[in-house]
Amino acid sequence: MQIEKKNLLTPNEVTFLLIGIMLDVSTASLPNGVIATAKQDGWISVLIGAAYPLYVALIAIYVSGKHPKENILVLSKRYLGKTLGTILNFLFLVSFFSYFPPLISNVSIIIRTDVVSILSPLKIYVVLFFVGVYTASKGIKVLGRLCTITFCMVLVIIIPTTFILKQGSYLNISPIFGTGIVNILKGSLASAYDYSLLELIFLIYPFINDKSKIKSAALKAVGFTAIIYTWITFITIYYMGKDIIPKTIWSFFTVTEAVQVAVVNNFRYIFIFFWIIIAVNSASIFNYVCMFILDHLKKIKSKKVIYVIMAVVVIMIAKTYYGDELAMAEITKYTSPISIVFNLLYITLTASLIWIKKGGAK
Amino acid sequence: MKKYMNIIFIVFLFTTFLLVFFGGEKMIFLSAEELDIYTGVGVGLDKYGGVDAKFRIPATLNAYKLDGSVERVISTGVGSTIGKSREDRQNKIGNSLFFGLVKLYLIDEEYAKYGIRPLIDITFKNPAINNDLYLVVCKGKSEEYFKRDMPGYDNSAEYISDMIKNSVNYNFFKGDYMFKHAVLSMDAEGKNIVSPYIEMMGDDVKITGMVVYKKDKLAAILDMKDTKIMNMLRENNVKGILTIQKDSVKYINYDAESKRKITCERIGDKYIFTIDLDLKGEIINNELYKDMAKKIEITEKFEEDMERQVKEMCTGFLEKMKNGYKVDCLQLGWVAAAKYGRDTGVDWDKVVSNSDIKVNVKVHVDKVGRGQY
Repeated sequence: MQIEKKNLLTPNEVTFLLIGIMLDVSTASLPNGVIATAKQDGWISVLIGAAYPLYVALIAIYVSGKHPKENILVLSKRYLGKTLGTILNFLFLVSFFSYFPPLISNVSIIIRTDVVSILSPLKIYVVLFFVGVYTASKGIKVLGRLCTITFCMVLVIIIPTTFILKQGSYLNISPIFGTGIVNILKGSLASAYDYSLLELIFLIYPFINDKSKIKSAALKAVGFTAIIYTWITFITIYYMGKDIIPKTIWSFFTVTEAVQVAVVNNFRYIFIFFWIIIAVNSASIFNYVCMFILDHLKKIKSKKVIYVIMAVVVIMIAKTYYGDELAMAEITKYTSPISIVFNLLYITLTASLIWIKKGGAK
Repeated sequence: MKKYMNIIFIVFLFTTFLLVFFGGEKMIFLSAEELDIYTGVGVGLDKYGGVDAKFRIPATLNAYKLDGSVERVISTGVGSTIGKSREDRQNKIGNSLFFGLVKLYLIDEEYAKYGIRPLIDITFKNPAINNDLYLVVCKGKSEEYFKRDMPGYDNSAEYISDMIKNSVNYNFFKGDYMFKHAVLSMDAEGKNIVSPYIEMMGDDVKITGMVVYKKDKLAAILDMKDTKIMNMLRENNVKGILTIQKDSVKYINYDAESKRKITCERIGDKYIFTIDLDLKGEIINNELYKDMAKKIEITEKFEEDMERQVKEMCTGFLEKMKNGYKVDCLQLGWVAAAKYGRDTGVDWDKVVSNSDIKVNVKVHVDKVGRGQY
């Protein structure tokens, strides 16, 4: 694997890339999921839910310490044999891919509900793919920079929501721990969908320019995401209360309405504008990742054609099966747990084989 | 061959782009002149017989003419549902209707008693509607209010919404009687909606009280005296004037800002609420106490007198609330639910009506102005 020096990622870019893939548009409805069982303690559930990405990050730190130059696709082939490794790598691709159609479908539903109802979903999909594929084709370095910008934008739109602390009430979040620890733990399962896909780190750690910084980069990514998610859930419950959240589809958008900025009529419009850019960012990363794994499975000569085919396939799937919010929830209810469990097994298996066989760079 | 592939590829991309964007169904764009942008919407319900009811939705807007003058236009949509009334309205007007910038919902008292859930739902669903609109309940029919000319305003809907916005200066009004707050409190446990109640008094349109809802239905209409006390006990950080008046020449006016804290205790099945009310403010007018600016004892005496009077007022109101209105006007259930657990299935209106509510009042005189004349 020969990568030019200037095309390597800095540790910060790795952090932002990892945040970029975890934080997608569906985060706006994260409180809805956890509130179902954890009620007013939902934000504690989200905090506990961070254990899942933390576990992935720790495994990644271990694996990258042993094999800093090879990604998990190479490693799984080496330790599991060529056939089994390839099958597992293919399933790894599928598990990533299963998040792709819901993402673009989600974006189109949000745009069509909150921004311009006159656009047809197809138009939104095509624009997303034109931008996403172009960015992805420019390589990982460009993605890293894009994610840095996106992360700054996320901060810019999340920070004004702290002003809502004046408008909500602590009565909405109390009694703290009132729902019982069992329900809080059950609620944290609902946050797993939004915490998933940190597994990307297993593909990109060879690209980092300073190998010693992988640990801090991964942990920072988990920390930042956990803080952002917990804040989003906390402020949503704090402002709306647990009785009102289930009435909205994207509860966090309703919260942003409370932000009062001079001149601006409704902060929600600004918020959603930036939120859509997050979606473009996620779409680019997905395009890149799927192409990266495909390329590894079978050397691809003309990437353009494959990108077009991939786009067509994703659009077809999104249009047929993920047409609306309910249909989407019905499918992701099954795909998301399966893909999470598979990813966890896959990385744990690879890591334990590395440990058993005492492999690694000496 | 490879060179051609590139060209074919680019042509393919371009054609897809063009086809997707300019093909498909045609998009309709409207210019601002083609929209009827409403400033105020009234909601009323006409009942025919026992079950049959029709929504009557008058809406008002400012029409700007070529010579720069402004004309007020009122159009009314009628239908058995709010959605149907839009259809009916479109048949009567020359432009496309647009509710995005409505400032005010003027709800008929009759309709508020019937239940405002359909109204809240249709507004909440629509992402294009500005949520900072005021919910106001009026006596009689809302058209009457819209038809009225208000000096200094093009439109009485603007006048009413400004009136509510600036009501915060006195009478302990909170001023946030907006749709977005109504959404947050309608179905929340222990919370309820309140909105200002307006009436036509001769030539004036004025706020004459407040209504309290139970879920989506109007439960009580409070007069101005009760409204003042309810606001004082219900809201935090509100301003108003309190008066001790002996007769028409002997009185004192105290402009106070309130701080309120509610604590709740449960003994057996009974809840005990304690409301600590902290008033701090300025004497703006004094014809009752002599030498108030000079002697501290006089100020202390005033504070004592005022505390006693406010406490009396509050106790009177609480008795009325518990036995008359039978609604939890002060959102005490919310406090209790936050302390003793939610979703227990109790009706907080009933619980609060049967509980002990204590009020502790503290009055501080902050300033006495420049002096005393």
